Order: sequence, then C-alpha cells, then structure tokens
Amino acid sequence: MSTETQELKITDRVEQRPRFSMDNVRETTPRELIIRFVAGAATSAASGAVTLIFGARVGGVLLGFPAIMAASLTLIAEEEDKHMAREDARGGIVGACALALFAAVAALTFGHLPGGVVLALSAVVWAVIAVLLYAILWYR
Amino acid sequence: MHDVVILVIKAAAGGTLVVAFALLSQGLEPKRFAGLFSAAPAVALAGLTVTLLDKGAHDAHQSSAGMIAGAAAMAVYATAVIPLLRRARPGVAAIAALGVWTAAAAVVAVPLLAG
Repeated sequence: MSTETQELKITDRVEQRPRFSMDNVRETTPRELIIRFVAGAATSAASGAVTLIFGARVGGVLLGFPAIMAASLTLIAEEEDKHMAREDARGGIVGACALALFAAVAALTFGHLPGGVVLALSAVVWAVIAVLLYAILWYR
Repeated sequence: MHDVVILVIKAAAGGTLVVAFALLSQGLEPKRFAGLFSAAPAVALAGLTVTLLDKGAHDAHQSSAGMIAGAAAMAVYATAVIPLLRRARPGVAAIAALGVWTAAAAVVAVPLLAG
C-alpha cells in the first residue's frame, strides 16, 4: 500500500486542513455504530458497577477507560488500513491529554459551581485544549 | 433495584453519547484530527451527569478525581498502541495495549486514591 510507505511521523505537521464531510458520515455502517454503542454502554456500566462496589473515586478511573478508542482503532484498521488507525491514535494522545484536563477542571469545580456549569465548562476546556494542542503540534 | 436502574441509565446515556461523538469523528478529516474525538468525554459526560443527578456534587467530584488517572493512562494507551499496530493484528494490538492502560492507571491512581 502506498499509504504505508508515505506514513507521517508523529512530529510531522499535517498538510490537509481539518474539515467536516457529511459524505463520510453517510458511509458509517450500522455495525460500526452498534459496536461503538456497546463499547460506550459497557464502559459506563462497568464504571457504575465499580463505583457501587469500591466507591466513586475508583469507579471514576474507568471513565477514562479506552474502550471506545480500542473499538475505533480496530474498525479503522479493518475498514481502511493500519496507517489510518495509527493516525487516529496519534490524535487520541492529544485528545486524552485534554480529557485529563477535563477531569481536573471537573474535580476542582464540583461543589463550587452549579453542576451543569461544571460539566459545560469541562467540556469546553476539553474541546479548546484538544484543538489548540492539535494546532500547535500538527497544523501546518 | 434503584442501583440497577441507574446502571441501565448510565449505560444507555454513555452508549448514545459515544455514538454521537463517533458520528462527528467519522465526518472529520484528516484522520489525526478526527482522532481527537476517540478520546472525547462521551462516557464521562454521561456518567457524571447521572451521578450528579442521583448522588450530588460530592460523588461527582470523587468520580472526576479518579478519572484524572484513567484519562492520563488513556494518553499512555494511545502512545503504546501505535507501535503495536505495526507488529500485531489490529484487534490484538488494541487489546494488548489495555494492559498498558491498566498499569499506567494504577501508577497514577495510587496517590490520587490515597489523597
């Protein structure tokens, strides 16, 4: 495969500008969505069950369990190629760093701000930090 | 019974939000940018919202504190899975790297849980 020989390194900037395509969304199969739904539901249920047994702090660790990333990487590698799966994982490193900040902001602000505001603020922090890190590291 | 209902609500909400973020990610290019959404806070938003409504801010705070360890370990997972994807079949690589997540989460969680 030519894509395998032309693979970008993690330090390389990405030529292609970020864009959204509805055509790509329409190509999504029900099987892909079902697998992701099951991964998300199982992770949520596991986190809830661990919380009931060991407490909220231990259960909270599973809110960062990468079941969805594992499912996505497997699907991408199967349906596109391994090079694309590795590119997805590189983005996932940055997304996960932003996710740790999401958790830190939530931990610092729950109890001090209304719950809805905490969740909205944490989600905005995740999105801004993820896109900002992408821009700094990889935007050409 | 109440706990089972809450678990079902968490599972349904988590699965639904994951699908929503997956569709958004599916539409994005290039793949490295779309990969940001592989680590979107879908399960966290669902879990913390239900916890907040059911148990209140204290439990949501506790869950968030524990989540720092899981999310930091997810960054380690994503780093570890890249070389594994070169050497092993995709499913095997994705599952093998979960061992790395477990070890990293334990290392970060011990001081967090003790605090």
